[in-house]
Amino acid sequence: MTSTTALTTERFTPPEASAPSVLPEGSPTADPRTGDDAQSADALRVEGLSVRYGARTVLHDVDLHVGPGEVVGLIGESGSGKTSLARTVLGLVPAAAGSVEVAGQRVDRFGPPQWRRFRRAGHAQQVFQDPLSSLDGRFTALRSVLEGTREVVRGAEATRRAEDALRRVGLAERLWNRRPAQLSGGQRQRVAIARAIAVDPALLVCDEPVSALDASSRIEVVRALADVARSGTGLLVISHDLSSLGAIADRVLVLHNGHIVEDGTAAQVLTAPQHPYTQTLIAAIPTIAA
Amino acid sequence: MTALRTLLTRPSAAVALAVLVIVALVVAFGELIAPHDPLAQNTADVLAGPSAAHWLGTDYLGRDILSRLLAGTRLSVLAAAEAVLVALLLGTTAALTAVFGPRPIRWVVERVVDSFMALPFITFAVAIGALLGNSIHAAMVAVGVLAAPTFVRVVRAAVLRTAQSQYVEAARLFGVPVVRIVLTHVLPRIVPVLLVTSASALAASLLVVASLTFLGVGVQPPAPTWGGMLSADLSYLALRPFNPVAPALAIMVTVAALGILADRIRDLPQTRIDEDGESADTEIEHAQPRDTAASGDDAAESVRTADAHVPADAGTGPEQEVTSGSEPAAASGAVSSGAWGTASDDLLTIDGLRITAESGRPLVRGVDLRVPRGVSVGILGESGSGKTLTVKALLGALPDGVEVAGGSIDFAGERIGSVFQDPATWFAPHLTLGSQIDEVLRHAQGMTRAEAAERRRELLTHVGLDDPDRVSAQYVHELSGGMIQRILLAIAVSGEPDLLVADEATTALDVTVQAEVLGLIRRLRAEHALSVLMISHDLAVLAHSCEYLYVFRDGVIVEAGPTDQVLRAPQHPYTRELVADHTVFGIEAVRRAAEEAQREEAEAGLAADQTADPTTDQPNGMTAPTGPGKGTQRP
Repeated sequence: MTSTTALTTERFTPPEASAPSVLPEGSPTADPRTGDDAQSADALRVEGLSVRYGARTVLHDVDLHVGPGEVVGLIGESGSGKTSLARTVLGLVPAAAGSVEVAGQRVDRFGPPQWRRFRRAGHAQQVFQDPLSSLDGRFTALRSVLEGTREVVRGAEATRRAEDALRRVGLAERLWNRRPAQLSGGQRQRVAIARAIAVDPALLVCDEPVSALDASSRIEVVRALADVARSGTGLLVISHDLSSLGAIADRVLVLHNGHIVEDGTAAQVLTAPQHPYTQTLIAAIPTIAA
Repeated sequence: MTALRTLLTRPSAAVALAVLVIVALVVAFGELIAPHDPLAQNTADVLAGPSAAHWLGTDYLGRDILSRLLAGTRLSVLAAAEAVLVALLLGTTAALTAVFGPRPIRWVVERVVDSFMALPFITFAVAIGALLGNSIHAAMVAVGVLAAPTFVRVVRAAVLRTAQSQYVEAARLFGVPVVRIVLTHVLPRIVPVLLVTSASALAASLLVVASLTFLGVGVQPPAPTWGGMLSADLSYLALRPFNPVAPALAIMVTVAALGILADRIRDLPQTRIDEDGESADTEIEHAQPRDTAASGDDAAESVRTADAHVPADAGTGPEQEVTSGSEPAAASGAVSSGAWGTASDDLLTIDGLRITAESGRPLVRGVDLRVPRGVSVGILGESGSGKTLTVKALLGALPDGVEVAGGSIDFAGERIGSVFQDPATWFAPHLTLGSQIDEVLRHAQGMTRAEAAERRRELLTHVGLDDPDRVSAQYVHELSGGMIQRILLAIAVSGEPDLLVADEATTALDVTVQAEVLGLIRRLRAEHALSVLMISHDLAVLAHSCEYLYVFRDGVIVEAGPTDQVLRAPQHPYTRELVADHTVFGIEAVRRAAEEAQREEAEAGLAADQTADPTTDQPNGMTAPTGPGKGTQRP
């Protein structure tokens, strides 16, 4: 068991030792962006955000920021507003009040043309819960990733970036021409991650990235995500349970009925929760400890 | 291609396709293979019956009917196809615009579509055909325009399904232009719908062409068409009653073939068309290579776990080596009968259960499992491991195309109560919950209305729903998943079962609700002296609720034992991995990491030792197996 402990502290091990070494420090792709504003800015800065659907307010005055390379976990049960938050950040749901800044740009004021330009620059990407739905079943792994890179760069460079991204998530080259149905759950989700990081986003929103996966696939996906963060992308990981977040999140926020009720390091929130709701939530999580 | 092959396995589809190929050949070469000039008149031989020279006889001008039939095919079919082509292009474009276009354009498209639906086909076509110089082509273009709204309706629904999918949303997040999204994601997916709709529309269109030419619209008299021939032959029906049979049959057979083909395409499993046949049986499909890739040690482990159940089979060479080489807390001894009382206590005994798919593919490959009275037993496994099929076999509810191929299930009790995942799907949405609970009580337990209502109140209170009458008056969508699962548990225990089966009963629930439902199951178990068989993919859920665990993988049990033993000293590499998953990701892991971090601060230099620790080099970063079994790596 001592080795497991060692592993926990050694959190950022490459997903597959056999895969080509994961992004050495200082390699060209480690430099996230060339844009000057994106270089120093937070990946995400949300201030006083409220979101309403008709008369119903689903998010109340939410503050949140994700630094470059930081992994922020957002925990909430169904109806807590966590998905609305993610969709607002990605411009799929309008903000009713407050500001949303992604990669240094005030996206809450964007109109459709600005969103188009922003998206084609690849600043913010998402990894969905179930890769079987988020990947087109007719596309091979490589083609799925290419779909994104081709919006950012042309020709051979697009292919190079796509292949690079697939290597970064540790997907063996022989799997690149397989379609989702021919891959395991973990491999599929790594393709989805590769697709998102291939355009070098400042922010990667992960909506329940492992909850559709079997336990044995979770480790490889969490490791791939941790590696993405190491290369400078900020991660907002949304989940209804903490079990997979603890290992990668630098900070954990707890969302309850549209309010953030707890904000702290993963260790603080998990071991010494302050808010009564967080205490209930954490007590409810089944563990294998006797 | 796979879709076409699947299609051709249906005889009716093959025949229909063959007919249509022949029709297409006649369209192309009809005039060439016609034995006579279809326009050549012979006044000496009018209205003759079938003969060696004229197989189908001659018409009122002495023209060869067979030749006119063959030559007339082209105009009849091509005119029909024109209309379908126009409808297809127009309809698909409109459907795509109605989904992806800017809002004002969408509005216009929808209104135009609605108003076109109100116009009558043939009348409109006759008018257009006459207006544009009696041209069948103009008439059929008009028909196509009028038929387009039908296409819009059908195609729009298919487009919408794809447009709302996550891979389209992902593409939009990349800023992929709409036109490219349509070309790469949407169009390939609506091809089956387009095929079906076009085939049915072509059949309808053939009838329209026949009607128009029958009426003499659009085609000048000498030119042969199926409808025109019918019309001419009808005038001489009294003299030659069988002359109209040939053109009528040509129309009928072609229309029927199109209709049958459309139906058969529609019958194809949607996924086969979507993914060209790769997605069926996915879970099982990729379970196979994993199994074959299992190392020799892995196989030996399986043998060892199996012999725990069937001691007579023990004693093979490699198995002995493995057991002797492994740690002292070997599973073999503890799993055998000693710790579990005698077999006569068993409420449920499953012996050598094998379940196979219709194709002969084994899904459950020899499972031995028992549930002693009053004990809670957990089955742990991933999707495709065979855990749910085993339970369905027990409940006699195996899905179609899957059957028990061997082994026995021996249930010593009288009743089994069961709860499943997605509780809301077990209630009808249009009836109150109370009426549905009463229905179960009245039919399953023969109660009167009043007794059922009384018992229902008791049961709902029993599972912690404090206002039973209010809950009873509600509909399923008005309650949370946790409340609905409580109601299902109430129904499950209402018949005082001996065994409660809970298959992923808390999987779709929030963790706080999950904790409540698990607590309720524990309470019901104690109050009703139930045996419980709990199925889950979540080790932690089972760890707290079960005294005994079976671990399923790829249709076999790879580990069995008392829960604390399985958690403390998992024997099979797969179980080790599952336990490690929790120690790596769970709260324990974070707590341990926090402690570790503190200790690290105290003892400088410890980190260096840890990086040197060889176990962290494991692919997947798993704990190094402590026994001789080293390989758990999946491909």
